[in-house]
Amino acid sequence: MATHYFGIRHHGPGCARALEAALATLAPDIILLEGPPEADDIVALAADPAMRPPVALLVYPSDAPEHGVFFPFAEFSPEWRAIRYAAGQGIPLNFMDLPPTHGFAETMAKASPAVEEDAEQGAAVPAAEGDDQPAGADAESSDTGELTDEAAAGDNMANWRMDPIGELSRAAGYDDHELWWEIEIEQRRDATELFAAIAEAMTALREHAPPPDLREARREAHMRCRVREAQKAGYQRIAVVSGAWHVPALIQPATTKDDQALLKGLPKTRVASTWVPWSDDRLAFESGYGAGVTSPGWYRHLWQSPDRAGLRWITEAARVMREHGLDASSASVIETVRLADALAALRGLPLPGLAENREAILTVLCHGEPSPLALIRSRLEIGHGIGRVPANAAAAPLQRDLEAQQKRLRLKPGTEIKRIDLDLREEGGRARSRLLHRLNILGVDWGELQHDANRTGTFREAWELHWQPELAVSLIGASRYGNSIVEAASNMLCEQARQNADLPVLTSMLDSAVLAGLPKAINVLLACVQNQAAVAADITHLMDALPPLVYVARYGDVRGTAAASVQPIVESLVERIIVGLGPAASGIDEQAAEALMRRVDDVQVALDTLDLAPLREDWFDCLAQLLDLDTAAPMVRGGALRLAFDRQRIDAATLATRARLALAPAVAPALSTGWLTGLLRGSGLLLLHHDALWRVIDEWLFALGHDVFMERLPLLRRAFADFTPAERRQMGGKVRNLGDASPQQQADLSLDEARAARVLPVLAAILGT
Amino acid sequence: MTTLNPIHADRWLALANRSAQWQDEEEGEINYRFHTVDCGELWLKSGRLVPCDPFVTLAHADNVEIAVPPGRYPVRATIADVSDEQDGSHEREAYLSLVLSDVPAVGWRFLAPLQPGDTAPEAEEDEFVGIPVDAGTVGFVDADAVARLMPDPASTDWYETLVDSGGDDSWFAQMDDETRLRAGCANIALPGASDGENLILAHSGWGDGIYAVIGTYAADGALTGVHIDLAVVPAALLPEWD
Repeated sequence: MATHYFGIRHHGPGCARALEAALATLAPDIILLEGPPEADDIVALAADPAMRPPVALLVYPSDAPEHGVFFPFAEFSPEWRAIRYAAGQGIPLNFMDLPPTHGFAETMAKASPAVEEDAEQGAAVPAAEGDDQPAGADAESSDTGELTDEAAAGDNMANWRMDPIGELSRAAGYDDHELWWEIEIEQRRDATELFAAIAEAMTALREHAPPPDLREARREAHMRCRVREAQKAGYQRIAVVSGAWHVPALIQPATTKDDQALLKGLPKTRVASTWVPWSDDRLAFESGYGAGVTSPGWYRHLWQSPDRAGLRWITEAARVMREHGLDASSASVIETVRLADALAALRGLPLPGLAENREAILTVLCHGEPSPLALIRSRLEIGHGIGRVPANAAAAPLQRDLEAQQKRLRLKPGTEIKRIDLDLREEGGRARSRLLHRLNILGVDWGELQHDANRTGTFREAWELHWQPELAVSLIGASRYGNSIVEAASNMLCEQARQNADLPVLTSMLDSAVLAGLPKAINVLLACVQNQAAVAADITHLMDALPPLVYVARYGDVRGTAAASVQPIVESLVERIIVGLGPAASGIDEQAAEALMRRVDDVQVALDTLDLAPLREDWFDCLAQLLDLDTAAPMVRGGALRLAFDRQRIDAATLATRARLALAPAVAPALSTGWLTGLLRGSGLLLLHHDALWRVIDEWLFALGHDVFMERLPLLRRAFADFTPAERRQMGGKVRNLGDASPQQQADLSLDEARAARVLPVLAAILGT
Repeated sequence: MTTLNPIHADRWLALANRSAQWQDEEEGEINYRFHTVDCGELWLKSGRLVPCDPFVTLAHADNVEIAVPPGRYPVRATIADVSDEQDGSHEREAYLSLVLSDVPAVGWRFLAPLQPGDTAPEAEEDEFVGIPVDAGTVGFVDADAVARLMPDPASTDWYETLVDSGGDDSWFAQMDDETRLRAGCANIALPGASDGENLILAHSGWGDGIYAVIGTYAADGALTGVHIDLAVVPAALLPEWD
């Protein structure tokens, strides 16, 4: 019986090649791999031909998927090669790291203090086996290492750890922490005795390193236990594949008793695991396996084309540039290859590495310009590929449903931000829109709805799509609501509707439900809205609730939703708003008046949108009453007058008369300023086009005393602040000319019929009539 | 004289006005659409045709040249639409051709542009004497007209006075002028031309390189055209070279 230790670097293509060769020579009968034991059951799926890296093992607490941990694998990861080897040879492969369940249990306990309290009170804690944990251990994180970025960062702060590869680089005289490993290990073609050498180097390093912290010690203890188990089970050739740093600790003699003492009493929680597709750009992240790969594309290239890697790499770079319309001639490619080779020779390297190729590409192909290099970095060095997981992987049903819909709707997930325009008049457009809205409801923010001011048509939607592998976690989190996306989104809305009594939130959820095409949720939400609308006392809530509801009533049909049921609710809401508006506008200060006016505006726009004449009449009657309501805030009265005038409910003469009354010298300046602010909100066109109003305001301004003017100036300025620069310019012109505009000049503007008639033949010729 | 290579319809696309597909080892199927642009006539009074990079390698004398019968010949650029959408959004020059006759060509061979008095080196069948391009442009001009009409470079800097003079008639400006032939192609009168002596230029495909000059031949052995192959269509012109 023999146990062989292979210390690797996560995601190193050279290591991967060496490991593959070593495994082929050794022909082990079991492989023990650093990784989460909870995934032992699903590791065999890696052999499925439909599995395409990059993929990741996702291990998560069943009750709190958001704490899940990813273990990503690229095609060139030594771990992936080991998994594939085991699958190909039909030998068992077991993960041997400390199970993440312990870390999850601690994180979850920290996240919910209530549970902790329960624990102290002796209540049942899920799977907390005994409380005889050493007291000092509480402060330690028992995460299985590098779980999440934050966890890793936190650990690094708390416990200084040696950077073994950096140390080796320094010892060999390199400034760059990675370069020595890159040259000696990853670019090595002859891997004989490589792993023995790595183990020796790491042993020497660890002799001088501080002892591992508790978390590390537990991990290594657990790994040793798993090795012992395999030995006991009678395996003859055991291959142990772990991060190089751990090898000395795994080889060292440690007693079973000590190891078990370290591992005793760790908390547990229920854990599930699955395979999820991963993406190239996420390989660059530090998660799961510690080493972040900064240039996965380069590593994949080294894995796939070890022969003439530099030449092929530069050719690829030229191809990327050509695709983007940039000059990249064959002569430049040849020059670039030569320069990279020369740089490598100057630096004493056996072959040009990524740095040499990058510098040569920048100098020759990119003519020194950084922007094409950035393109190459993004497209080639990182890449935008997304892996694939076979359909029978034990993934959440929601993930399957999403994949099926993505296929059906031809919406391929990509890690590049992509904009799509949907035409909601077509079934395909509607289906895509519904899917994206449903995902948004579920918190899977793959698409972001774009609000384009230039395109306000109701039958168009623009989305920005950006898939991130982490969204898989959101999907798993949403799984508890249902097994298909439509069902889950519907159930989620229904559950939130029942918990939420807030009318505006309910109506905006109703709006989402309509956009997402969820008839069941619409019914539940309508019932909730109806109940709430009947009892809601707060008029601001009623007013906030109206616009989304009107949107549903008006545009529901574009999306094939029956909108008729919404109308009675809208009517009852408007009636209640009309009854409540007068009192709501009375006795409030300027700030409250401004907020109310914004809502009044929204209600007005909503009613303009809705084609219900009687309702609109009622509303205007209500506004008309506001005009004469002395107790109402002046700003609201001014605003109501503006709304009525803009919609031709009163004429210009009435407007001027009312202005004269509101701005009469007898009215306190504070009130008249407020009124004026309400009247002028938003647009100065009213002033520009109605001289009578202009004159009234002009006279009023002149009549203000200096002190009063200074006091009211800020408010006046605010009234003018929203005007467009063009409006303000025209107003300036008007101020200059208004005094001169005598009736005589106005008469001059009358039409000279004879002169105008001379244009008609030209127009006729142009129009061809 | 080397043997004549047969013309393969999917490998030889100079003067083509159509789509063409072929398989590329790295990129899979390639689909380009080709069209030609008429660049006017070149007055080859001496019959000494100079294929060159007009901004870098063109000299007052001793240019590399190819002998053709003297005359005025149309010059055409063959443009490849290399865009994925095939909507003309990305075009590259694939060939610049001097058309000597409309008789159908039956074969082709590499021509060796050499300085007067030089002899062509021994070459394998897939080797050629190319013209070096360093400024992303190729051109055709008459050797005798250059010697006669271009100012003495010892006293007049061609680059400052002609190529990039800053005026509307500088060679660069004419190259960029899309109202004449198209942006990237130009038919330029030589300074002081009294008889229409000219120079015809085009951008060189993807950029700099060494480009082959190819002669096409009719069944009776007469030269029908001289083409600068800008290597936009893969250089493996014969299936057996793949």
